[in-house]
Amino acid sequence: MFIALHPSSGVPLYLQLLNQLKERIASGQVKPGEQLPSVRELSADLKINPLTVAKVYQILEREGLVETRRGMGTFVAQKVETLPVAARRQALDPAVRQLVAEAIHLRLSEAEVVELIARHFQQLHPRNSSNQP
Amino acid sequence: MNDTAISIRDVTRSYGKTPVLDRLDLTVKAGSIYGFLGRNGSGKTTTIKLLAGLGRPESGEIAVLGRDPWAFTAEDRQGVGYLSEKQNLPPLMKVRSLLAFCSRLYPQWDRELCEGLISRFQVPVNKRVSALSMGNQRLVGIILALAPRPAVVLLDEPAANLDPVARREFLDEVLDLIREGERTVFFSTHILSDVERVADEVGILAQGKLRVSESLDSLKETVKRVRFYGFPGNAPEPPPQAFGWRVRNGEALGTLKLAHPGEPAALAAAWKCQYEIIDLSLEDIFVDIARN
Amino acid sequence: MKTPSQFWTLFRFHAFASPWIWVMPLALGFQGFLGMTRFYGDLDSALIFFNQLSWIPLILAAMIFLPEFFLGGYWTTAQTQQQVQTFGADFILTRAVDRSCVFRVRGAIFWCMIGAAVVCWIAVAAFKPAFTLELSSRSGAAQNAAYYLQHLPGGFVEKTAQNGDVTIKVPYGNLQLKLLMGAVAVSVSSVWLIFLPLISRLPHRRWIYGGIFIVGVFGLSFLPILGRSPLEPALVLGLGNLSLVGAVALILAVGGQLLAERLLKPVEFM
Repeated sequence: MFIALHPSSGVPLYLQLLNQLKERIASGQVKPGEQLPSVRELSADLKINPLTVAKVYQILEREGLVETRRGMGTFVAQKVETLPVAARRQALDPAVRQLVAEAIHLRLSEAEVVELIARHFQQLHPRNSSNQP
Repeated sequence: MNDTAISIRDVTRSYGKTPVLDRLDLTVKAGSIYGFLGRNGSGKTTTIKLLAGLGRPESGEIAVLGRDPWAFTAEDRQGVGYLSEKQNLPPLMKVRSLLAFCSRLYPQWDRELCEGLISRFQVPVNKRVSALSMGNQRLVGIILALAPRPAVVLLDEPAANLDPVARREFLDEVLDLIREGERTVFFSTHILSDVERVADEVGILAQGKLRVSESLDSLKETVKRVRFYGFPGNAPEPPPQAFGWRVRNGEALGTLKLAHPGEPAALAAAWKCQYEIIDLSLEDIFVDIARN
Repeated sequence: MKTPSQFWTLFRFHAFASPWIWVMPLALGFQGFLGMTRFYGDLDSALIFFNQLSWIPLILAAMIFLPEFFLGGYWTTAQTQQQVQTFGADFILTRAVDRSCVFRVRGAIFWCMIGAAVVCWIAVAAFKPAFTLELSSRSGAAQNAAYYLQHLPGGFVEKTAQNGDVTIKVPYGNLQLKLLMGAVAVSVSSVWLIFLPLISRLPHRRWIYGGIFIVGVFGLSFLPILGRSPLEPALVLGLGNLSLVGAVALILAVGGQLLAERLLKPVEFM
């Protein structure tokens, strides 16, 4: 798995890894039931502290995105158990806020931003974008 | 083994009349990589020398693997690898004979690891130590510290004089060491990107005291630069959790240690202003903390 | 790990890691070839060879025991720098060794070197064991001869010239002189061994060390200019009581080493 991390960025390393794994799972690049590399493998591959990888896997497991099968490894969850809507919204809020600030800066209208978002939904998650507005 | 690898309690130490460490407290969990930061002269080397048992604190207690380093026996020392800040290796010995000498002192010296490190670091072993570049001498010191597979490795500025490739190789090696299990690496450095890549805990030493000691992730998550703007009147006084506070043209820029993520919003609400949160790299955090 | 193997590993390291510690014992051993077997008037000129004993063991002890405290500083050469790096506590005391074992090994190396020099002197002197002392009639030969004959064991009047000059021969005099020199070397070495750890914590330790060196090199050499050396009677007295001096030297050596080890124990290498 190729993942680009930037240790010197202000975003904690674990958050960078978490976000990228979430994106891969959300976009179906890693399919449900597929096995993720072990903590050792991934940390050796990315040349980062194994504790960081372990922490990310723990969070993914807590959020129901992956499941750990004893003695076998970590797998992408079959059915993604979702958090309550309010929690999910709150998680997205800072990113949206930044997006909107940037859009205002660039003098883009709300409609244009929504259109852009829709296009990205199309690219990353084609199945859902049509039936879930 | 208990889960504390290194514990420093209330340690004071000075050089002559110059105080260096002032009631320092520091704990390193077993199995972690601890990045020890501080400006020059902040007492990093003093701390590491005390941990290596080269001196005694004037007051307070130190334990490495549960033992007082000053009273270390040969057996205790097998569990503690040390790389000094100065490059004090026997200069006229061939690297090969230096390695052979050290291997005889350690029953659990890992020949395979040693050879692996030599080829990985590309150290010329048939030359005298003095004939090697500073970087290669550093690598020899690192091999000597790692090859006995000690439970605790104390490295004082290991990355000094290393070129970027050698530095990356060295960091990988440290990570490999950690991956095998209960080993602890305690290293001081000025190269903060190294810390960001491998360390899980960081400590920042300033004026003989530990200003920060926590996980790198939580440090990055809780120390933020916040820009407050649009005050109705004059800019307010800095809040107590601010490391730095600058006011210019009706804006205030502060580095804040946040107790919870909603704090900037609460402050902004109280001041009736707006705010913007800026993520900080470790270097930004370090500079702001060490400067104050 | 068993201590004996640690001891020998460390011993080999200390003996071969830095060639510079061999310079001083070689200089010391070389003294054996420079002896003289004929003296005029008194034994003062024999003292020239005793002068080196004051400072060579001092430098040797500093090089072996506490190089980072006394070497370096203002007169750093590449060689002293290398010595400091090789024997510096930063490296050796942080390996898997017992601190006490390191200082025991250093003591062993130190005493081996002093001992080898002494053995060398005695071995060379064994080929020419005697010395003669010629006393001039102008400065009271008869009175002086009685003094020397009383104190120099085995001494006898070889001949008395017509003008009153007396020639005293001591059949094992040269050998006795070298034995005394050895005993003095051992005693002085013991003193420095105790002295260095004692002053190692003083801020002016390098000046004290340098001062002793300069007095040893120049001060003692200029003593004979003052006329009859105040040390000559001591030399004669020493030759007369060789077994006592030897016993004192041995006690000093053992006691010095043990005391030095005790004094080195709390030394910090920060």
